[in-house]
Amino acid sequence: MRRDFSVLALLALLVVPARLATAQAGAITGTVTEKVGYKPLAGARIQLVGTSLAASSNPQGVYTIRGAPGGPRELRIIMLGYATQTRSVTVSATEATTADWALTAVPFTLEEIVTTATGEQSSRQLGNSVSRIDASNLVETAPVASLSDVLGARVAGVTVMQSSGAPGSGSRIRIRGLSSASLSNDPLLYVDGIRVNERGTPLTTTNGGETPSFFDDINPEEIETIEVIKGPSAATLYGTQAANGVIRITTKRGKAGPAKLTVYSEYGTLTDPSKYKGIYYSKARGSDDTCFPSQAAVGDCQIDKLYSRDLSKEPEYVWVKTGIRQQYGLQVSGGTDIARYFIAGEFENVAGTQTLPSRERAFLRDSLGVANPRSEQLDPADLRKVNFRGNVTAALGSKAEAQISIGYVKGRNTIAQAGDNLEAIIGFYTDASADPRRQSFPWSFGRPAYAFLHTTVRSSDHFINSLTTKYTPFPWLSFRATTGLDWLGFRDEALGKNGESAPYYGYPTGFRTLNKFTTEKYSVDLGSSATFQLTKQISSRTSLGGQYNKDLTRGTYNTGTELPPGSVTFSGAAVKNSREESIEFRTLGSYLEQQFGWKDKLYLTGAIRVDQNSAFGLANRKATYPKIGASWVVFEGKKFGLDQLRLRSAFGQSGQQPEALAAVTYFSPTIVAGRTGAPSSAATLGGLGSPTLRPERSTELEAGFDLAAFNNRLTLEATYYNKRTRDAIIARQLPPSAGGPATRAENVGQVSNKGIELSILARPIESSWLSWDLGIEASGNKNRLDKLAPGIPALINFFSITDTNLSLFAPYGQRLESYADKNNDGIIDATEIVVSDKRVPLGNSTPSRSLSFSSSFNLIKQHLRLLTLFDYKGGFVATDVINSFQCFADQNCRGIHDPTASLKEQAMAVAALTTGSTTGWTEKADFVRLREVAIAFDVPAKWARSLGAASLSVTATGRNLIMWTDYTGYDPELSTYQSFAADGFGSVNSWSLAQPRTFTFRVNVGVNTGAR
Amino acid sequence: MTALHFRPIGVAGLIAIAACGGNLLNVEHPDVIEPGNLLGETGAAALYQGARSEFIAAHDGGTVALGLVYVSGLFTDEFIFPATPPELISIDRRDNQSTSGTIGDVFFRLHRARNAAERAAAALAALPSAATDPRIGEVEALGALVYSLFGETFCSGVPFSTIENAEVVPGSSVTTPEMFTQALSRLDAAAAKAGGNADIVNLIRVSKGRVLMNLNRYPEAATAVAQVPTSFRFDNTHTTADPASVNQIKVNMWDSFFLGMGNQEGTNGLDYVTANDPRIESVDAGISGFDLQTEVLRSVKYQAGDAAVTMASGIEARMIQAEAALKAGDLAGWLGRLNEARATTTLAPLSDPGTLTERVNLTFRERAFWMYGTAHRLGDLRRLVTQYGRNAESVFPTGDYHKDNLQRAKQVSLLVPQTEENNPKFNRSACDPTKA
Repeated sequence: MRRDFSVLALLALLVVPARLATAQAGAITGTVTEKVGYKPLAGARIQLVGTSLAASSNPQGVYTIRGAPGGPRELRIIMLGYATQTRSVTVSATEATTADWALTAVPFTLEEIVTTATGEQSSRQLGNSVSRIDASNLVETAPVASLSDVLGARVAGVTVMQSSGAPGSGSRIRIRGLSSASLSNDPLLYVDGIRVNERGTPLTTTNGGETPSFFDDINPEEIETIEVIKGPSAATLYGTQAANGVIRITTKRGKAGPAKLTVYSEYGTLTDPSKYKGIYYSKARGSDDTCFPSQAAVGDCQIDKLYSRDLSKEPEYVWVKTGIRQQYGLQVSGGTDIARYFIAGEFENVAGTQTLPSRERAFLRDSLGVANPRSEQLDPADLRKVNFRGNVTAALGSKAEAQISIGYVKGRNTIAQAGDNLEAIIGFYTDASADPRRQSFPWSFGRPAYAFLHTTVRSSDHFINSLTTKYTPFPWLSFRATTGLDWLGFRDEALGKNGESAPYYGYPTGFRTLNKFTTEKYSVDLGSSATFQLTKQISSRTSLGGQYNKDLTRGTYNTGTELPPGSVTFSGAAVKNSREESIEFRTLGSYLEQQFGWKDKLYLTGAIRVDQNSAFGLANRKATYPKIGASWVVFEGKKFGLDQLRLRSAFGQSGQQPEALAAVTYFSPTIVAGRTGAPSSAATLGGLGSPTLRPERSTELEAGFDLAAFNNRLTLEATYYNKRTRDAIIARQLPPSAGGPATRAENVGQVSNKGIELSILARPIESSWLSWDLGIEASGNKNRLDKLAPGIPALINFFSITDTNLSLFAPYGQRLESYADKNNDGIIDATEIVVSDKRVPLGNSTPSRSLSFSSSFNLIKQHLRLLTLFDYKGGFVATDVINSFQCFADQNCRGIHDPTASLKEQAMAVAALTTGSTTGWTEKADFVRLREVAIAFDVPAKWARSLGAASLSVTATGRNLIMWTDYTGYDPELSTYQSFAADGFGSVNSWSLAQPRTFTFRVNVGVNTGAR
Repeated sequence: MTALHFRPIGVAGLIAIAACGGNLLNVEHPDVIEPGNLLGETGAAALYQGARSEFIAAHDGGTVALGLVYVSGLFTDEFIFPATPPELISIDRRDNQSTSGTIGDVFFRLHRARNAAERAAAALAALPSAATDPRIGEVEALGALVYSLFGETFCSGVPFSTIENAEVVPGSSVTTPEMFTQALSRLDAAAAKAGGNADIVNLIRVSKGRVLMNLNRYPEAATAVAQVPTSFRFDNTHTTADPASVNQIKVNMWDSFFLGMGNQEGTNGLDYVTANDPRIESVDAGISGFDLQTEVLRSVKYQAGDAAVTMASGIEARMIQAEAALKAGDLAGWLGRLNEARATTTLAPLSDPGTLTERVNLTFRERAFWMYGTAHRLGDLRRLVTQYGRNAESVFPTGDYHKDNLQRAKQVSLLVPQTEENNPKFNRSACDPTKA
């Protein structure tokens, strides 16, 4: 391999025409202004076509490209919000060549500079679509509190599903469907060129499924742009692990000029939108037992009276409060042409909506003797973050540049129990009884006072540091090196003091859990590109590079039980247990890409990447991923009433690495009581590795077009993709009678994802006082397991099935086929329902359709903006475990007890009671949300100056305000189980909070200091 | 400078990565044990303890498994379920399903125990001390017991697959008598490898007696256990030093309210609580279980986290002899053996109830009280059906379930789990849970 690539490298460099190598270099300089008003424009990107040379304009609009080869050349300027221009210049070798630009403002631009694996390129050169979010503008106006919020409903083909509405809760991000039945479906995340933790390790303490996510450690306030590379056709050069797409984040950079200080503050409220359904008790006449209407209907008993309660609304038991979100930040940027800086700091606190009811506080104090409860025992949901970022960009002479990015996040997230462990606060209320005899103590397995005694805390320190150097020794040749480390240290801890723990939890004499982890992601990315004109019409760009990634997670799990009274540490624990965990992956990849351009209109790209990975089986240590792409700018400028039309298509492969130990046969160390009872060390079979294990290989073909019309007041991007994942790794269930491990990872499946994506931006109204922008992001996805190898059965778990011709993780159960009130007595009994004999698939686990509609009214010369975002997701089902559990286990739901409940509700309850089928609560989950509303006012500069500020804006926002859905659970988007393998649970809400309704008020103040 | 000067720089950086490719990909997995580390004496010792660990997890339960004691006790009259998960209610109602993860886990872990026992025996046999090492006989006996436990508790048609060269070799379904025959031959083989250790010798003797009873070969069973002293006990040990090694009946009954003692469960159940028998002391804390409706009665026998579960004992040997004597019509011998066991306690001697039916009832009651919560009861109830001609509904809990307006089903054995259908040689039709 080494020999292969050294030859390729030499060839790539030697093929350069000698005349370029020896040509004398000159400089191109000029000024960039707006065509109307001649206002200088900063940030415009000016490229010398056919070379690696480019420059950006400074706040005065001035730019300089040094080292330009002499002779006739093409220059192109690209800037967001302005029409792209191209012009010819003749570069002089002896004196600076001047090229000034006057740019025409347009509503939307199709052409952008995007960061690819081989460096920055114009989007016109790419055969694939890359979606881009201008985060820096978004955060000032939209109600986005996290990176997940930024991505949600803004990119066609990207689905964001929240785990819960608790502060700090994570999300599942899926791009172009689900590709893997047993491995992560998370996209890769890059920040300033290096790999960083996506979601990271799920919560390691008992919590019922909910977990925070390190994905949201990336502060939206610090982001300049987000680029979403959606599939293998685009992500080929990212290699193994990139099959689920790549999210590339570029943080803000300083711009040359006086120091600009920005201060912002945000304050808002969170409320729980759920209307909890209460508990019911239908008392029998002449007995203390229940008499359900369905029993009364067939004469088994007579109903005396129906009792119902909603404990969550009884004043002494109210556990929902108004949460608070506050955020304070400061950013400074500036510098010179030689060195520029961006420094930011922020504090954020989100206090959630859960609180211990007054009566339960008294119980804690008076009955359990908890005189000084910890704050998390009273108000358990809380998130605190301190962010710091320092970015410096420095010119190292005229041919080199270095960028240093330093990011740090300190987090502390207290997390109440939630999900499927019966300690969630919601469960205490929904599992209680409305039996009038239990009026004063309606609780089931425990009272709410115990709910927050087992609150867990995740504390983290997260450093994301990178160094990028670029060296352009010749106009035709550039080198790029990026190294970095994403270092994350975190600890999960929980404490139950002696006497405070819930009696049913099992540790009445107390427990302590403290799990400590570090994850390190090392990135080395080296690349070079040689760009030159083969002929007057044909350009060439050859890129060669290599990447090395090392991911290492190390941790210790520590638990102690039987604590002395008052003890909060392990020191006095009578029983202690510890274990270590270490997971390491290493990937070594190299690539070669060749691109040819014709007249700057047609680009053909071919590439190959070769990867070696530590998790591959010893017999298959190498994987090769090819890629080809074509982009054709059919025309630019006015034609057929259009402004631009580009056709594009790409084909490529990328992979997904197996689990670290999947290819290894190993034993697990454990402890057993010896014959005498004393602990003794032991070894048991842990895994049965497959030496031939290969990566999952996803192959994707995408094709589409980009179109601009009506003076760029309408842009449309349409894409079709067909992704097929071969060698899909399935945790194959081994016959348990073999006595080995339960499963073994094998390449035995094939998964397909087909779909379309549509992005439309339009400005129907445009005047100096009023403009109206509309945006539509729409996508459809068809996900299927195409086949399993012969002899491999379907994968079935508690909620779902993965089988051929079904979407992955299809919810699965005995379906309530039909019901009818045959005797018209208004009551559904067991004879009036039909439930399937066998478990059947019930739908898709994740949305197969999505549509977001955004609207922005810009009034009063754009000083006042009114923004709305509607979000539709459909084509999937969600499971409401809370209410199903009320019916089949607690037997306190309305459908069982209340004869006035709807027939559907009764049928669901009767099915659960008589057949055990709870699939009535696995419902069509299509919804439309009024996701975001914002009113932003940019105070006129004159007014701002009178207040001592260079700029001032205020924004009032609302998020998750209204939802329209037929789903009867609390939130169809929730996915309680968030671990990596948890796609199998689909959209399941197990005693987790719905996403909160938030209102925030934000102030942004900009100050020009005059200092550099 | 010319381009030529830069070529080495550009190429060098790129090649540098590939140059040390092999080393760059080497990773360590420090928290697992590579098979090569388990060679020799210390490795064999770890595998021996691993075999014990697997057996105890399968039989008594572990942190991720409920165990055969729990499941078979729930299925019979020993335990009742005072919580909510429907899957466990089904087991308590004698209506276990092939999709049950709990049953599947017991099935899986019993096979793991068998596999681990065979692996440990092979490792120990490779040591120079093999000829006198009683651990070989011990783990082989545990492996043999797995066959008997399958025969006693699961339906007919359990397959026994193997792993060879890291590949699964599917096994065919085996009938219940064949399982007992397999157990017997393996115990005979283990007997030759007990190294003269009295505990292991007696473990094998009692286990043989148990298996021979299952095969309806009572005289041979009595002979097999004749030399076992009444004071002998072979325990599955537990420790509170490690959460995974704590007695799981204790955890579920005393800590989590997920298990309660049965008492005259389903008409036919024995009066484990109200008998006030000193062999099974109980505590009624006046609390309801997790379902808030089932009173939880707790067994003092498993009150401690390090309470052992007796796998074989001299008491069991006496019970085997007593039953064999009853079968042979030797009433004096029968009663003598029963009372020989009771003499180890403050219990009064028994007298002959007068009829064969009552004598059989008394014999099985004595067994049930002596071996409460040790996974013997399900096998006993099935023997009452197969060897004594009793109707299953006259020995198993029957009729109305104690909550949720449910009825008991009529199963008499546990089902081979659905996951076994990955085995192409498995014959589902051979597994009928209503046949003893």
